[in-house]
Amino acid sequence: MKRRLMIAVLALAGAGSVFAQKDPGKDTIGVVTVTVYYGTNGDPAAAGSRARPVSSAVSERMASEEKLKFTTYRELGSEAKPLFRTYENWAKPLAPSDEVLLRFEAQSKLSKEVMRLDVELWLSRKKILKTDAPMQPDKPLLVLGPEWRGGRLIISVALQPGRPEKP
Amino acid sequence: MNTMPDEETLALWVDDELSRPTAAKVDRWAETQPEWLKRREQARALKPLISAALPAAEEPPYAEFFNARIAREVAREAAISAPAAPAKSTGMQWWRWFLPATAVVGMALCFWGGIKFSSAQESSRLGSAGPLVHPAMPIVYTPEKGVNAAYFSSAPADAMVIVLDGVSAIPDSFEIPETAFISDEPNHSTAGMMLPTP
Repeated sequence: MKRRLMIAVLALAGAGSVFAQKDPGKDTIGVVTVTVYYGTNGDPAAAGSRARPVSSAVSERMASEEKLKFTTYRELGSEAKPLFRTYENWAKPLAPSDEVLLRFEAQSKLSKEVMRLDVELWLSRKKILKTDAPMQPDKPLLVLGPEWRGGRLIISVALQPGRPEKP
Repeated sequence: MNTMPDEETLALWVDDELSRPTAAKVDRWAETQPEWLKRREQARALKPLISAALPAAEEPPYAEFFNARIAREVAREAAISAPAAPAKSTGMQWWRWFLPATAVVGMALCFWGGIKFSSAQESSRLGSAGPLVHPAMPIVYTPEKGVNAAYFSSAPADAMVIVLDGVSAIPDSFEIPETAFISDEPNHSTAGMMLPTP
């Protein structure tokens, strides 16, 4: 009886150690936030009632670049996803729609703050863009994307170090 | 001689090349071999004809030419095989020790350089902050036909910008899903869009 009990304890300990092993590839080494903006020179109400106004800082920032200059900007959706050390991840900023998808994966660390990411932008379930942008905090990647309702979608990809609040 | 001679002896006998005692023995044997006697008669008949057609001896042509070539080859071989002159003692015998020492130092330097290079490569990988490397221009690839992308770094916006051209428009019928995440605070940027402080 004692022998059986000992075997059971050993088996449980072995199983526990197996589960306790952590996959280092799943370490979160940053947070990628993907936001879809709508820029228009027309009536911003065309985006619908669910679109939200953006901050003046965001508006000024985008308007300061000639290629991204519109009279009005709206935020359509956003999603923050963890950046894993090894594995890829997907962001679906207009969830549950897959009209805009972004696949990202860490590629290399160029410096303490600059990290090169593999980024793929999928629009309407087609891979439209692939790049290996050197991402750094407070310097987002802005993609002037497709037309929609008289304006253009602007997809912002930003990298923040650390762990997400809700991974 | 009652036994038949071997073939070599018979051939020499046909050509009258045997010594006299041996030839006498074969003659006794051949007295009862008319076909061999006939062969010898034929060979004897042919011999003067062949001698008349071919000269007894012929000097090799251009003998002096061959001799000169042989002499030259002999001289060349002798020059090659001759032992090299002993090296002069220059008083730099330490050089023989210096060469292996430099080789060892070179190997050590290569080893050290390899370690440094591999550690630099390792540190550039994820999870460790390596030396600062200037980010190169990113590669921009558009797999969809007719779609072009232009990348540039925007100083006023402090952002990287990619402008897509030729992308199919999203149908106007597309509605923003109700469940799309929208930050509760309209002014809060989730994409690090705050302007840098001057």
